[in-house]
Amino acid sequence: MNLAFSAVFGLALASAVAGASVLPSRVAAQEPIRIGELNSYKAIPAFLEPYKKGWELAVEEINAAGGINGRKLEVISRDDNASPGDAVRVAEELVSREKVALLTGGFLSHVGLAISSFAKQQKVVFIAAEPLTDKLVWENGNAYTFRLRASTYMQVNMLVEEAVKLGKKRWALVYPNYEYGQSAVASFKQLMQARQPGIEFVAEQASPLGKIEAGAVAQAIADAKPDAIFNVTFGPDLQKFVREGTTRGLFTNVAVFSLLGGEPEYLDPLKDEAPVGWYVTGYPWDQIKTPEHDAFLKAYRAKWNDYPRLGSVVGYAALYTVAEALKKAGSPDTDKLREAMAGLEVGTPFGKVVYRALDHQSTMGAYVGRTGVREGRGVMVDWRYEPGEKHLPPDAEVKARRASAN
Amino acid sequence: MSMNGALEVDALEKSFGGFRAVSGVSFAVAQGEIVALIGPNGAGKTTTFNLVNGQLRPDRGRVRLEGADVTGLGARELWRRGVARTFQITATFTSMTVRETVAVGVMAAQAGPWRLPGALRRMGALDVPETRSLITDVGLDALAERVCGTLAYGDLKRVELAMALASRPRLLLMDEPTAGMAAAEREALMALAVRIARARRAAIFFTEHDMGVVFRHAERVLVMSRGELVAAGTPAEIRKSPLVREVYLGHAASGEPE
Amino acid sequence: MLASLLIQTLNGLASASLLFLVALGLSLIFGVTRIVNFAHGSFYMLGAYIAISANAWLGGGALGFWGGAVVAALAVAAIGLAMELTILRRIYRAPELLQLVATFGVVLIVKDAVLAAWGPEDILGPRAPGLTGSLTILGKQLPTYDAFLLVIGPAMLGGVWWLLNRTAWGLRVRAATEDREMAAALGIDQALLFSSVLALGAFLAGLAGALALPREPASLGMDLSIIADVFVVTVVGGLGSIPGAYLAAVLISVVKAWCIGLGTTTIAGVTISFSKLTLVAEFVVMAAVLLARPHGLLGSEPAVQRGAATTFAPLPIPSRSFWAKGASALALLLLLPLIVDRYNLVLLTDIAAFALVAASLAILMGWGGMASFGHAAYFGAGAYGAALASLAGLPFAAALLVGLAVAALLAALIGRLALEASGISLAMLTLAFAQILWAVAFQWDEVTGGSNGLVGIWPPTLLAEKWAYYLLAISFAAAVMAAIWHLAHTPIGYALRATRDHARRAEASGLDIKGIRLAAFVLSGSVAGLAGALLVFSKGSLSPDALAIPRSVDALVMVLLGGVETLAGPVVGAFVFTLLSDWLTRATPYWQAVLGMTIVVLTLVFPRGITGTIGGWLAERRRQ
Repeated sequence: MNLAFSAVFGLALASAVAGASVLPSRVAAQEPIRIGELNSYKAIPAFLEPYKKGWELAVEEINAAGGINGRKLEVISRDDNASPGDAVRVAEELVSREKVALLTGGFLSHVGLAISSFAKQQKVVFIAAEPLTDKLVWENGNAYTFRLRASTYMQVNMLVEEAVKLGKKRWALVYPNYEYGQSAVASFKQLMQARQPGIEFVAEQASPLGKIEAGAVAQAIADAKPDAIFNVTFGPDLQKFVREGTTRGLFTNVAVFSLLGGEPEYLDPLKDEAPVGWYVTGYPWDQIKTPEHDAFLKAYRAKWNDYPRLGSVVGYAALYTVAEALKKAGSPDTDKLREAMAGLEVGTPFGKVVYRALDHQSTMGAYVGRTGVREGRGVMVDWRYEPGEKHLPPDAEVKARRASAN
Repeated sequence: MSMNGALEVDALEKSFGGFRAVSGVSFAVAQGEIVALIGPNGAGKTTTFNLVNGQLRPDRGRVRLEGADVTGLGARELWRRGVARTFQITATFTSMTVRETVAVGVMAAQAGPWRLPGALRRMGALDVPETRSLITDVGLDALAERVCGTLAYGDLKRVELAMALASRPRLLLMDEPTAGMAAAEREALMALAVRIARARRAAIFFTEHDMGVVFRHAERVLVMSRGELVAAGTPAEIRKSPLVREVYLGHAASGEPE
Repeated sequence: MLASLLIQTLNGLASASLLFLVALGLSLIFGVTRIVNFAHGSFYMLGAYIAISANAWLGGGALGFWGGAVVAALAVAAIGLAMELTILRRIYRAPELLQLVATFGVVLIVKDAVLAAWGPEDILGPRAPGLTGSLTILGKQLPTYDAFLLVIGPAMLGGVWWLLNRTAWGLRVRAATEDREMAAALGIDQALLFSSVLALGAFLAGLAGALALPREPASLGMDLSIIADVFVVTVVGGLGSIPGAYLAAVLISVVKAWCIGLGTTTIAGVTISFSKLTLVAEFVVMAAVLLARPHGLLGSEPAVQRGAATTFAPLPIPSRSFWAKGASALALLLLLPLIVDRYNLVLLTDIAAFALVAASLAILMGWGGMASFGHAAYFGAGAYGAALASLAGLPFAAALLVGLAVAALLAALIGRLALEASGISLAMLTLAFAQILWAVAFQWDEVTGGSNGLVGIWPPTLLAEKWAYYLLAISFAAAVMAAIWHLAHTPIGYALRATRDHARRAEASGLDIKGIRLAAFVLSGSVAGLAGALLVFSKGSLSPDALAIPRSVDALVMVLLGGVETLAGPVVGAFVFTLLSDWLTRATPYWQAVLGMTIVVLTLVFPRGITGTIGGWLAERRRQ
């Protein structure tokens, strides 16, 4: 046993040391700029595979156009195993061994927060692509963390605009039982109560993520006899809820609002069973007719022989953010990058977005519309683009929520 | 029955479901006495044995040790009151050496695992005179560093005997001590147990199938049949008793006492 | 209200049928082979995906749905059989739970295989033709398919009961379940029996996956989302008891449905969100049932293992050269910051903490013979204790102590309760408490930060440099490891191993079994808690993930891969597993499958763990 121990120990140690010996040499001027990217690829493949295709397309385009000031971009991508602990270690590897200029990626909110905390301590810029939690840029915001996507609050606010118009009195709430669902519902309640006094919330169902008992939940909501439902579930939970609710007649004569419900990732699997007439935020990729989106769509289809999902847009826009920041900063120096990120303008398939100096949140918006079924698949109808800047709280409120951060 | 007998059993009763396994059994074992409990299969001797060693709790009746009521107390309480036991199927610590196994018994008896500062040091009981003499007494000096799991059955019985004696018991309970052994080994083991017990002034109360062993080593024999104690006496008396013959012949064809 | 309650009960019963179908196979497999089959959830997931493809291939319709379900079940049965023949058959004699590690490897392989074959997107499967509508009961609508499921559960229960009680094969299965050795003595062909049970168990899981499609899309999370639940059902019902499993499935599903039915209710001025309880309902039920009935609802005390059914390897007193090697390894480790890059130090800091977790688990499993499936509880409690203390302004050293103390207290509490049971029930109780703790951390926003967790937990400036923290972590780990190694041969170490080798013998020799085992829990919990506290300061943030099942599984895998019976095993396990996963995630996009295959191969080559098996080889060579 003793011998065995030393044999294995020695071997393992040797491999660790061997790993160290392949350290990259000092970065020369014409060598590519390295970007660290990390995400929960194996845990959330439905969103993140298209996301990866999106940023790969962006890298290809940026490098084909000559790169950044003559230097090419090289993305070092890692799986964070959907674990904050692993993510921090991976981030460390990207920063210290791969010598990346900055970090980007993230999907899960708790992983995103862990990377952001690391970014602050290690003084490296982190451009969070997807994590939706409001805390990332507000309560737990910091000087090194920036976020691309419209946050939970912003997306809820977009739906509230529509909900208020209907004037429904009795609301049921259904959401995945973790921070995203909880804060979405909290924001929804707060915003609705402010704009529609006398509103009642007659049922509240918090389901474990990925494990909704859809039949029982649909039944419980039906029993409460609501006029309208605000749904935050997504993915398999949403599909289960739609099926059970439809079979049980839950959605008849009830207005349904569903956060993210129009994103192809979550709408497409429903095929001809997609709900009709729900109010959703999402991405009607097949109907957007702007020049920037057309260009993106064409390039994406040409490269991948597939249509883009929302994740594709996020990945694509995240890498363009990186490129613009590097261009503006002039060098991959952290402080210059931070300066460049504040107020940075980036062209995305959704149009121009700005990273606000105030809270590091980008103004990327979302499409709001209703669901329908066309040619046997779910689509968005009557949609319009809601710019992000319209759906952020007043600056004073943001400052107050960011007070604890710096 | 003297008040300071090693073990006194008074009107024990135990039923399982509707079946009365033990009914009105009373007997006593004097200090240093060697007493065997015999009876055909199903006579209730194992139940009686388990009522005495605390594994079962009687429905009625009392068990006393040196005058103190110990009815229904668990194995550890009995150990504390000077009772040791061996098991029908040898029970040793199979991953430990003979020395370690015996030392665990000595450690438990001398200080227990908690007493500081010994609790923080390498186990001292491994190398104390008590452990060495126990191993020598049961004749295992040559095998002291062998792991119990690799020993022959007869040697394991000796290890167990040494473990049982580690607590310096005043009463040793042995459940079928020679079960599963070859004839010659049985004799040697029981002789060893009796010799050490006498030297240490411990009483032995044992159940046994091998009548040869019983008649050669017991000072007194108790006979059970159908849950009741039907006879008691010296080996010579029991050997001659027609009642005992009938009990055995009535139950098993080959059961005639030797 | 009454009508709602009735419908919710029916909803619960319908869910129970599917849960039961999966648990049925797991229970059969465990009963006969004593294998904790982690891959059972993967069988379920495969059933769903294969049924979708089979449905399309058969042209949809009634033939596609029902025929597809049968094809899927048969295909999964073949996969289960293949797993038995190629992997499990070789390691039946390995220490208990090693098979769990091997099947965990299979889980990883299947996950990547399904991703490669069917892609990342969820697939909404076909609905059952003719059963797509709903029935109106008391003015409420119940899907026809749910009504069908209501029937299928009891029908399968009856079918399997018939198989077990009225066929020669069933007789053999029951004999093997009750007494493996006796069955072998009676001349039952064990290999054939095990193969057939694995195939049947996989068949049932595959069928359940296919039949779940009308209610649940095929997705890559199906495997792990169901596996914990079916373990719970199997144990709550009583291991090996088929009617018990059905009862447990019903109990858990109906409790969940009622929680949902009650929703948010105000009782005596206090608002309770019952729907949030569904997060851990099954584990709360399990804890309650096992505390009242340690062998489950219909389980009986497992037959006493006769003879030397489970033997443990000796644990010799470490020689001088062992300590010398340990000291030189430590010296080398302390010099590493001069040689290797910063990332290696961070990686080794992780490994130091994981080694402590693995070593702490090995105290329970190796010395005490008590499996703990919820070891993340102590690790996470230590981390939360230290993080909260640090955020409250306590200095670093004090925060570490708080973490250790919190974990020790928690271990005392969990140990006190879990020790009412033994064997697999004890292990499942530790899992239940860990899950309850996880749920508390998940929900208690004000204190724990909820699912997002806590951020900004860094060590003082003096230790902020990675090399400094590495030196601290390595020193701590080395000191604690040395203490553990020393402890193995102190009176408490011997006493603990004595209770494992033969509890009744130990008790008759005056050892306080429960007290000693409780001490082992506290010791183990303290070490794991210290590891959690150390690691949280290296990560800077903390979330309920630290308390979650995957962390407990990681600890089990490390211990069993390294070798549960040797002193160095946990350290080697932590080293190999962490380095391997770190390296593989970078080396290939299909790292999960490759990691899974590596784990399987390691269990086959090193059935007693890496150190145990190599030690055996060396001992063999010395003898020759």
